Amino acid sequence: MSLFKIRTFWSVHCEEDSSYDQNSLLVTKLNHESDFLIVGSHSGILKVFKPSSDNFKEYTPADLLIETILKEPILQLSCGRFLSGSSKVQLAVLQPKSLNVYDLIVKEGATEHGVQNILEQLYVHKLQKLAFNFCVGPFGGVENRDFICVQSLDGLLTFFEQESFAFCCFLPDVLLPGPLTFVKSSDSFVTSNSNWHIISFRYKLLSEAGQNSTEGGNVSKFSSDWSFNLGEGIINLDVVQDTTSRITFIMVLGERSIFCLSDIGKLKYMKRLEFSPLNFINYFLNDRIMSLVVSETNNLLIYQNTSLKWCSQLHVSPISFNRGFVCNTNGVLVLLQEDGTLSCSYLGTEPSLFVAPPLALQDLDFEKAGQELTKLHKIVKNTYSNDIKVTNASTERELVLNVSVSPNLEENTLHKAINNKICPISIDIMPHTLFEEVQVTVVVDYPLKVSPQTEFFHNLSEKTTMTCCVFMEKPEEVSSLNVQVVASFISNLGVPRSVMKCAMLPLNLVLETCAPCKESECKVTLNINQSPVGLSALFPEYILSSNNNAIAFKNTATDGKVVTVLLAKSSERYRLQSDSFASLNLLVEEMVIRLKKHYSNVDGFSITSNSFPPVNTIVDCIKTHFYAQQKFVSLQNQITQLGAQLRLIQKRLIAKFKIKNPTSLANLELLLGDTYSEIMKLTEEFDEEKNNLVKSRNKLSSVLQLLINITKLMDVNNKARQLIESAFNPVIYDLDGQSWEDITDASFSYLLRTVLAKSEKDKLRPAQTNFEEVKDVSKIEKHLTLILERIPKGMLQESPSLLDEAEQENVDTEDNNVTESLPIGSKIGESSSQLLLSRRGLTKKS
Amino acid sequence: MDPLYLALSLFRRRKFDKCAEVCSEILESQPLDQAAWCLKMRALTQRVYVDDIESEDLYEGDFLDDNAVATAPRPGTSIKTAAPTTSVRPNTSTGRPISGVARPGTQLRPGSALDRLKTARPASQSARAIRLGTAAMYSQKEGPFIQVSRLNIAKYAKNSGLSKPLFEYLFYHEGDVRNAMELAVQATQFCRFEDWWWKVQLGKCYIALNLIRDAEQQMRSALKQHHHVESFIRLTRIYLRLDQPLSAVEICKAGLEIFPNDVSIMTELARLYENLNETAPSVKFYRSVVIEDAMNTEAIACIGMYHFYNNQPEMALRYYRRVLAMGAHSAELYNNLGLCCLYSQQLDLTTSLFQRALDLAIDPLIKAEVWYNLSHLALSAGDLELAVQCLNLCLSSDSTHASAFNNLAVLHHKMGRINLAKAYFTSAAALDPNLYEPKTNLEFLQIPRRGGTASALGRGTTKLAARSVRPAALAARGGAPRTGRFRAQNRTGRAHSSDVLPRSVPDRSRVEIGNLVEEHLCRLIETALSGSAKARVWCLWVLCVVNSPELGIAPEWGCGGTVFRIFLSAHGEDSFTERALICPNSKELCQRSEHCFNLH
Repeated sequence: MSLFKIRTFWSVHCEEDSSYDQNSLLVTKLNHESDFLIVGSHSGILKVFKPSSDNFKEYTPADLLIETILKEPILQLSCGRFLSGSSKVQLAVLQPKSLNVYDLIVKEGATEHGVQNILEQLYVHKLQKLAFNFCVGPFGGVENRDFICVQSLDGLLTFFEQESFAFCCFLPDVLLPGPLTFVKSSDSFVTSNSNWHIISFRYKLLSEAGQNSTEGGNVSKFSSDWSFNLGEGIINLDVVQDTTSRITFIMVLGERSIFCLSDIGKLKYMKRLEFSPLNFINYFLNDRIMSLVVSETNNLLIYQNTSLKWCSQLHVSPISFNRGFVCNTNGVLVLLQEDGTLSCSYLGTEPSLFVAPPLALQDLDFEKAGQELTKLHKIVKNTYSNDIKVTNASTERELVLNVSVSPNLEENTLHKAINNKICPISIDIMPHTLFEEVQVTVVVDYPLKVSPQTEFFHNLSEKTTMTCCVFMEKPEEVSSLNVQVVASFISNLGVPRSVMKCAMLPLNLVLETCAPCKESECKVTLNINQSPVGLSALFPEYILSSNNNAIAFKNTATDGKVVTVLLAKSSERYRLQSDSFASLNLLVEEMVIRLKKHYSNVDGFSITSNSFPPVNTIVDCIKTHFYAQQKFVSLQNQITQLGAQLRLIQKRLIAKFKIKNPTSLANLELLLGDTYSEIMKLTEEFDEEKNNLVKSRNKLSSVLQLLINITKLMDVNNKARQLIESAFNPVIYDLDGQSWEDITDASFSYLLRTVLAKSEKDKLRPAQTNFEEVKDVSKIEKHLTLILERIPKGMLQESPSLLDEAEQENVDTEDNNVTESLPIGSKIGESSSQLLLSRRGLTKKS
Repeated sequence: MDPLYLALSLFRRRKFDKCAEVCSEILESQPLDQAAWCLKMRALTQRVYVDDIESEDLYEGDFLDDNAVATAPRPGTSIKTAAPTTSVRPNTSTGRPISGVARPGTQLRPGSALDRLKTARPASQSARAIRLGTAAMYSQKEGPFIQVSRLNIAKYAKNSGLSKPLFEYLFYHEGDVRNAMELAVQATQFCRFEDWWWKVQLGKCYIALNLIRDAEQQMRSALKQHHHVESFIRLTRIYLRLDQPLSAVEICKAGLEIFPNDVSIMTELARLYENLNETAPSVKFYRSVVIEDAMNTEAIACIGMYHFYNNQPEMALRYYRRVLAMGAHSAELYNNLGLCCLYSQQLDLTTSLFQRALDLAIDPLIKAEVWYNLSHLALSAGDLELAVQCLNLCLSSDSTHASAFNNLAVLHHKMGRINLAKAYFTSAAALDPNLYEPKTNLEFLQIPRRGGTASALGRGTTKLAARSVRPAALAARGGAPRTGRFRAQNRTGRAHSSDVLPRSVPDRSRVEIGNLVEEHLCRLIETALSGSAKARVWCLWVLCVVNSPELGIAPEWGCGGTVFRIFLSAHGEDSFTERALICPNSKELCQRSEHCFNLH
């Protein structure tokens, strides 16, 4: 990214089907006033250009002075005083097996087109090894002469003193040859090696080693003058001399940074580049080093030491470039592209502002657009702004679920049914519109199981039936025979909806008759206000003699307690008794349903009961569940801790292993093994405890169901009953960090503070706004006892009125504390109506 | 031409694929040619090389990490406990202050370190390296170039010409940190611990293996031998991972002494200060960066954003225009330009800039942000309906946009759909626990008769102040609107709604008021902690409730009309005039009272 763009005024495409490299371009004056642009390709074609000195004219064929075909590829071009006895500058061309020196002779003609340019070969040096690159300079401090040093691909330096061969020597440790330059001030050669060092060799040392090897034949070792550890691959090397103070700097372009070293190998500065550089050139201006770097992203960046002075966008990516005196202008950028396009450019100072492509926008017809807008507004309003659409109210109209539970059980062993009995359920789904995705889920309580539990329908448009079957999975007490079917889908307005249907499973899926027991510990009495009906009429599916007054059930799969149903004809009572309250629930529920069904056409029929389960039983259940839960959590924590420990030991072991001087493991391996086996042990224990927890949960759930069922039969206010029902939530979930007790305790304290408040003091209890973790079971026990005491004592008679008043949105009731502590969210709807009321009140006053 | 020369030339011209091909040909005829082998290694490495300093992820603490120095660091000594911002600059979804450019560290998705640990593989640095390795391997036709398992590492460690390219190959191309480290360990031993480069590489390996302290040791040792910009930056990163920003700053400053005005180090320092929530030094360094390197998009964008959040949208506009002129052409940039124009009153440009932003936004997250900011445009035009629709569109692109939920809720509340508002507030609070606006708003909604609602919503809309546009690849984004104008609008419209007042105050016994005060003091502390000015209002409110009926002290007017009106409605106008006689600055009170009644 840059503000400016490079402007090209002269450009020529050199050649098809050939490639050019970093060293393929030479910009030199060659004994003349302005620069020649000399290009040598890998296919061996040498071209000399000289743009006409007229004002920035474009390329004309006359600008090409010479084109020669050399047979071998041209690797590098350079110039210097290579002819002995002459102070003129000649051209040196490196080819893989030879070094050629040419002289460019210009014969002036009478007219401009009469000028003759001739490239004359002066001499050729044959090379022993394949060349890589070369450098020229006054080696050894000679005056007015330039010597040549050629580096071969395997690191052999061959020196030529003009026409004669001087000596050759091997650079030490060369794997891949690097760039090579000569530093005049220290009379040494600087190059890089594969170890990513910049190394410098004195010419004197090299020549001594070279003389020895040619004389004695053995290669003597020589050491570097200095080396600098660069730490990254080297792209190019350059030498810059301060013209006034005669200080020389070595510039290094690495793969990631630019370095500036002094001629004795000390770092002067470095700069990390945020792009991949391709090539660079350096020159000295006003006591500062200027570096021109070309990036892979086609930017030309000009640095003055480390600060960026200019950045310009290139339209090409040059492989080699240089500054030159062209068209009577100093500092023209000569760029050579890889495909051979040679161009002369200057930095454009006029910013090329980025112009974004225009958006394809149509002109609006305002009237039409206005109409469309109103239409769309209407649609949007209907879709979004209606609260009712978000609620679940009208779902039934869109999708109807029919659940039919087959009264006849099937024998099946395929499923993991404990008692081989399965109860098929068929669900009819009747959509009224097309639904893309509908998911139907069937839920039953543990230990019952349903299979398949979920079914997914795509593009549902007509009546579909889903069948599944329910069976007992574990030999446990069954807490409820309720089966819930939930269909969830996205309505055609894009709102998620759900439909729920409930059904009861047949009793004989889980219970079977057995011999009645006379006496049992736990009893529940159901009173009815009609003459009682015989048990045989109530349970027609079990064959009973008509005057039988007792029937007993027990769980088909387990050691569950026997439940006996007794009929007391004279006192219009049914008594259910069993040894455990957990087993009673199912039958109480069933009895209530059956009785209600039987008397469905009798007006004023009611069932009442006062036989509240003793507090102890419930408390026991809660305690069992609580302790199981605590154990469960503590095991979980232990496993977490041990897991962390294992990781720490592993870390420690790694640390031990990587120490340079190995020390003993200090029995860490034992610790590791122990921790591992401990984790395994705990995991097994955890599994067991999980089963325990599930069992206790199931039992608690049964007892709570019973409690609720009986509360339903008791003579309490409807509103309060609902509150109590929701407080004793029989569906028990123990989540991470929140168990059933935590939630229940919160609701208990709420109940005690509001509907079941006994005194003013109760009302002033601090509101429990968040669900705290219950640490002590005795607190919940206390609350439970209080609640169970107060429910039958008719505490509710007075308090519900409070609640009702609060519901009336009466402004006067606001002084009641009770209203303040209503559950979060239950009163929000009121505020707007209150707003109206209070405003009305105020206007009246003022 | 000689194939090796050709390969070298191709390498120089950055044609790495072709270079590797040529090398393979050489190796086929001469399998033991070390030069070709080395060159091929380097070509393959360069082909997949990614600057690992720039791509380094901001690390978030592992709770098992024993490297962290303090578990409860003092304020200012840790990135986590950086001084909370008082400015309006929003935070990112991870709770860090938003930055002007998208960097790997700024792009983390929300979720705690704990959540990330629950995945199979713990968060580690090497993940990216491993991915790179597999990607590189996939593109090789005839199996891997080097069978790492058969590599005689000890042999190559002693070959100084081969060891470094081999290390880079193993580290970057293969992503095999373990073997690379093995090589580095042996090589550094071979050169008698005299090569700083190997120490830096060892440090890199240690970081990848999460052995931070060892990495620190290696880097420090390397820095003792040789000063290198990269070493300084790497050491800084190590201290960031150890959550010691102050040490990191120190290292950067030491680096700046050796490399004065180095852009990389100054950028690092500026980012560091930005993370520490110290915007002033951060911008100072960004400015120095721009002086040194005027093309630094990151610095320009960050300074632009600084101005934007400092209520200087015109200045910000200049910076963003500069980025635009440099050729950046992205949805984020147009979005920011649009926001700057909006707040510097150049409304004619605003819509067309946003149009461009929408046109360019492909990423749904960016699209969501643009729509979100458009909703502010609609708000400042007073078109609530349009604002709601913009927010809905925002949510349809990004359903986890907490701020949009909050603002939508506020708007719905204004329209009287309180249930809906509450639902939206709840989802906003659930989506971003760092966002305090929905929480405050919910709190106000929960005590509807305490005189809260009106001011609550007033505040709520203040909170409409929104979050900025999320990061994207290039740069230049930032701007999130504040709601200066909107707030003002709201003030004027508020007088009526504040009528929702508790009428219960006079009926309370003294004790009850005591309880009430207690409750409100708690809230007061809470809100004071969240750093908002409403604490003061609450404080006065409480004082007023306690004092006014019994002690006859009139409410202070400065705390806003709410308190006063509570008082007023509680006592009726008769008692008000009575009080006015008693209280010291009664004259003013009387005037105010008249004004107040006029409003009704």
